[in-house]
Amino acid sequence: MFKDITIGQYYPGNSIIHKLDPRVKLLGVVVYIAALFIINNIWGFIFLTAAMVVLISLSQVPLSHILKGLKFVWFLVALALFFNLFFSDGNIIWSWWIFHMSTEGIFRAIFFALRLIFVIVGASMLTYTTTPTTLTNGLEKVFKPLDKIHFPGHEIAMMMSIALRFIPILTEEINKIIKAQLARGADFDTGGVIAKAKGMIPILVPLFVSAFRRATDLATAMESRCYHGGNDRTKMFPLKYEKRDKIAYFILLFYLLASIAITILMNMFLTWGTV
Amino acid sequence: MIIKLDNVNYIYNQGSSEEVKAVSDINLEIGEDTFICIIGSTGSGKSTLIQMLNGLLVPTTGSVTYDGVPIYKEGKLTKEEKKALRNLRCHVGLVFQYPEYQLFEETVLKDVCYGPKNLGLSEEEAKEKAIEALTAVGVSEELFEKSPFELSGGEKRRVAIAGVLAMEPDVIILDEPTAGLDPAGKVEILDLLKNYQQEKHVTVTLVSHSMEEVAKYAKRVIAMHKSKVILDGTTREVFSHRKELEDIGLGVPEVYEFTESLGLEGALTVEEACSKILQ
Repeated sequence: MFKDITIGQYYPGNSIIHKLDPRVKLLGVVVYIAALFIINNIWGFIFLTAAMVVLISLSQVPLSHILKGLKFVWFLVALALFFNLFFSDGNIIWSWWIFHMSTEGIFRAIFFALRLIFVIVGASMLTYTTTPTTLTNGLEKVFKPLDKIHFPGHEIAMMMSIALRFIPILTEEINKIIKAQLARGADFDTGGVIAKAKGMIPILVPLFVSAFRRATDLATAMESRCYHGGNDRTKMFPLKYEKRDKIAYFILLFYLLASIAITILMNMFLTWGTV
Repeated sequence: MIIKLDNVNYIYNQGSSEEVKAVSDINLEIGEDTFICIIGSTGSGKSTLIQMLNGLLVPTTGSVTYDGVPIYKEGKLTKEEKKALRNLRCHVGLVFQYPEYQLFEETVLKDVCYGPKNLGLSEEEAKEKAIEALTAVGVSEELFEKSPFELSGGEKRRVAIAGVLAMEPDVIILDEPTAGLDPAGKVEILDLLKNYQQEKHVTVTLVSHSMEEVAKYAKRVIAMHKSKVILDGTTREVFSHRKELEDIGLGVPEVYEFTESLGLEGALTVEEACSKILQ
């Protein structure tokens, strides 16, 4: 049921994408998501998909691994598709009872679903290619200018990386608990929705208990190693920009400009076409 | 109830690059009225083996039969087969490592009732079984209405074991039931398991890393090494293969080693050693 969750996990590798500075990749995700919401036509999506294909092949993360990470997103995608498809106003082409379909709705549904999938794939490319420690270092550096307004950058970076690190630990824990309750004759398959939801209690209660236990243990372990937040900490491997990082920044800039250009040009072209 | 394993293999992540053979070519028969210990170093396949005994894991190849009836067939399980598998899990009770992490109810009594209720028993019957099991593991009545999270480590462990015993399984399998307990707690748990076994005439199987415990409690010992069963016999027979056991990093009990070094026949317990030396 909860086997191999890959979302948010690091995929070991030695590709150029793995080697990039985490700050570049963080900005990359921001630019990528911005571009994703700028584009609003099919050509934009083709450009975006092409860029994604190049990125994935450069990173050497297998496509099957990425698709596995989307396992829990399909439900959201289906939901978004459903609402956009049947409840959008506009040029209505089909209607029945409270449902109606419009040409605008169809486009909106497809774009929405694609955006959702692309956001998840893009964001997980960051975690697939960056170790939690590097990611924390990168986030800390990015948040650094906010120190002036007392923004707890280090703490937030630390919390994010701990949260990511805990995904596989808790997954393993869930599997253990499920097995233990199955051995006590638990039945997770039969019954209605309410019976199934009730059946989750024997899994969720022990899971929460163990999550709190692990959190306390981790806090104790950190404290006993004299951890005290980000003040005056030095880094064993300080982040330094290489030539490839600078090139990557240029590519990102080009990518953002290209997305904007494609959107504007194609929209102009389409309006002319209809006039 | 006799559980029979025929040429059982289990491979994790089959077909991927991380393929690991956890259990290979195991032929085993357990279920007689006795106390069995499974020994083996970490990673020797013990945990995988015990999960196949109650159908939590389906062997990659080979067959597992219960009283001669095979439980798995090739391909996907049908609804009836799933139900049969669930029934089977109730006949073969499995207590995992650190079983106290599975407690979830508001009170001790309710938690122990969870298993019997899953068997389809009524509230009353379930309560009866739960009280019986709790008494068998020596949990006193004043704890019944307490939250399981308020108990001490040893008490939690006993409550969790009671949760499985309350289903009255014919075969009880425990994965290191004494891990992380103090010496007194260890002896307490093992003694109550032994008494339970002798009273109910069921099979108690446990995984243990302490050769002293094994020598003291087991009637039959199964030794595993690198996913294979290498020794299987009475406790004395198995410990007579001292060289092999030492080679796989297990060894024999200290008292056995001591009596052998005196030139006597190896003794399994201190009492036995005393009487041998005095003779």
